[in-house]
Amino acid sequence: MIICNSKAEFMSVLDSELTKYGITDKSEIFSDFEQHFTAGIEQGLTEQQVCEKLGDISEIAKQYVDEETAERIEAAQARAEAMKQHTAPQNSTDNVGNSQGFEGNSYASQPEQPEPSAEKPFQADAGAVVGIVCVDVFVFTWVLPAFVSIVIAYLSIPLSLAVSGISTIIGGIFAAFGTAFLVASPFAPVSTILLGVMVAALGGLAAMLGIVIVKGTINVFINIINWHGRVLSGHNVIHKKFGKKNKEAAQ
Amino acid sequence: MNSQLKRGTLELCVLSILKRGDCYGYELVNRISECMHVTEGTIYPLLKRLKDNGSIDSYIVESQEGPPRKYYNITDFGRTVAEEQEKEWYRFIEGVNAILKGGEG
Repeated sequence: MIICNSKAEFMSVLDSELTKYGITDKSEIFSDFEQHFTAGIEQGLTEQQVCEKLGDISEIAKQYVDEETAERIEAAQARAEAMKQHTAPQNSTDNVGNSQGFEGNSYASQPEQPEPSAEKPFQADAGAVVGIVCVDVFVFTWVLPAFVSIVIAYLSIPLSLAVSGISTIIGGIFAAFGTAFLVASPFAPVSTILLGVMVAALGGLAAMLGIVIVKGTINVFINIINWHGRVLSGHNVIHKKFGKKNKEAAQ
Repeated sequence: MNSQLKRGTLELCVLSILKRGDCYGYELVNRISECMHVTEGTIYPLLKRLKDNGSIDSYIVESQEGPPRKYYNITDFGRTVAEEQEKEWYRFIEGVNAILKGGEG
């Protein structure tokens, strides 16, 4: 809703609103409203009163195009507006992972949108790129291999616990019921089975911890990849699935 | 009021006023806004649409005091359109009235 106080203001706003709706042939429209102001003032109205009676300038401009076109233009404008709000904080250095609402493909689906100012091309920061390369060399030659081997080494713990637990259970069962196989055991058969269950349960616990560790590892990798994406192209490459809690905390 | 309905109705009003004689923009706008609540500015785009589809035409009249004025006049095509729309309007109104009054029609 745009209503002005003077004829000059009305004309300049009308000009920009007509441009917004893609109207190029404006001279006749301007002269219609010029005449309207002249006639209104002759009748004893002030410029402000004429403006008020004329009403919403945006609505006037919109009426010069058909409804479909007007809707299409308004939708494109709203998108461009939303994009502006999203891309603005993205170039700042202190935000980490709060661009999950960014729809990269809406650029591609609306190539004709009349708001070029919203599509500011992303400029990678040279210093950040050099930094990222240095960090990458360190990460990929030292941190990453060490980290991955520790994780794999850890994963053998639940596996071995589970295997030994299950074999102890089986051993106990044989001790109790197997007449052909006599297993020398310091424990009574039932205690042997219970011991097996305990060891297997321990394996289960270790496995759960393992899942947490694997998830954390994946999360770290996604963060590293997205950090590269933000520095090099301006937006996240992977939308995090595991990092929900981190995301909420960041907001 | 529904904007689609209002658009069509305003079109009929403009044609109906011009059927009785030529008018310049301000005069036309005033006559309409005296009778109903409209965003006055939107009558100009309406006039342009009517001119584009050939229902009305315009001509410039020089005046001694002040700038030249643009007058609008109805075309023969506009007259047939207006008559058609008028009939449609009365049919519509009768229908609505019949329903509002509870099936007397």
